[in-house]
Amino acid sequence: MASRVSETFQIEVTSSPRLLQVVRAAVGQYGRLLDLGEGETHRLKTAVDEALTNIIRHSYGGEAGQRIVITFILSGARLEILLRDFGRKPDPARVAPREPDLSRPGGLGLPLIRSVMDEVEFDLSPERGTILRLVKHLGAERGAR
Amino acid sequence: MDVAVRHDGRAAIVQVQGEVDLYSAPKMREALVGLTDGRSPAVLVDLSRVEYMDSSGVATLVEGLQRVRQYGGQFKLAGLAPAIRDVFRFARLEKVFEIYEDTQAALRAVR
Repeated sequence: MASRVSETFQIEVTSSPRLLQVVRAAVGQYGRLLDLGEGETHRLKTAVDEALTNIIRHSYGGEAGQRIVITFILSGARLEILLRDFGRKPDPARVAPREPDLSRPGGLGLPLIRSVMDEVEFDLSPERGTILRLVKHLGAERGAR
Repeated sequence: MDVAVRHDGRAAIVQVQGEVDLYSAPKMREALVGLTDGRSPAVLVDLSRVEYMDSSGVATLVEGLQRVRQYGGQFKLAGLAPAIRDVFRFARLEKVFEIYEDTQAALRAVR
């Protein structure tokens, strides 16, 4: 597979929960374009949806109308998804890998993201907000139906 | 997303249809809270027409399960498509719930 960036696209949404389904539809369409199987496409949708949900709930505290920029970068078989917000930075303890905890069911999103993506990294370096970097190595299921 | 509730004997069957996420999960929660406030002895959630569910939906079901357990009732899930079941598996909650192939199987298991 080529190592150069072969294609990229960006979606910008405001922090409105009802737009989640629009972003999922776009991810589903891209999964079909990449000829991913149904399972892998669903898992990508899950990762992006959960990441957006966390941004809406935690970075923006449920406040509508705030910016979220999602960038998809395909480089050979490596798909990188960057989710940029401009809200409150996450508590490092909250984003550390951990087991799902039934006593706080609201915290299921990040373990779910970690279970379906190959790399999950929070970049807290921007002056405002966070960049969440998700990486999926496409391949095993590519072309499977 | 649509939610409908019907009754079959002692069981209340919550039929959920569509996509369950942060936006739509409150509608499912409203139905579950109504049933658990009324101490419905058996709550069956039929997910066979659910095309997508995220952690907001799963968390709502966890809350429903916990509310039913508080009064000693039964809480069962039915008809999960493989992709929906995966969400429970990835969240390591597959064994926390009683999950049945379909509502008929869940109804037969009502004690």
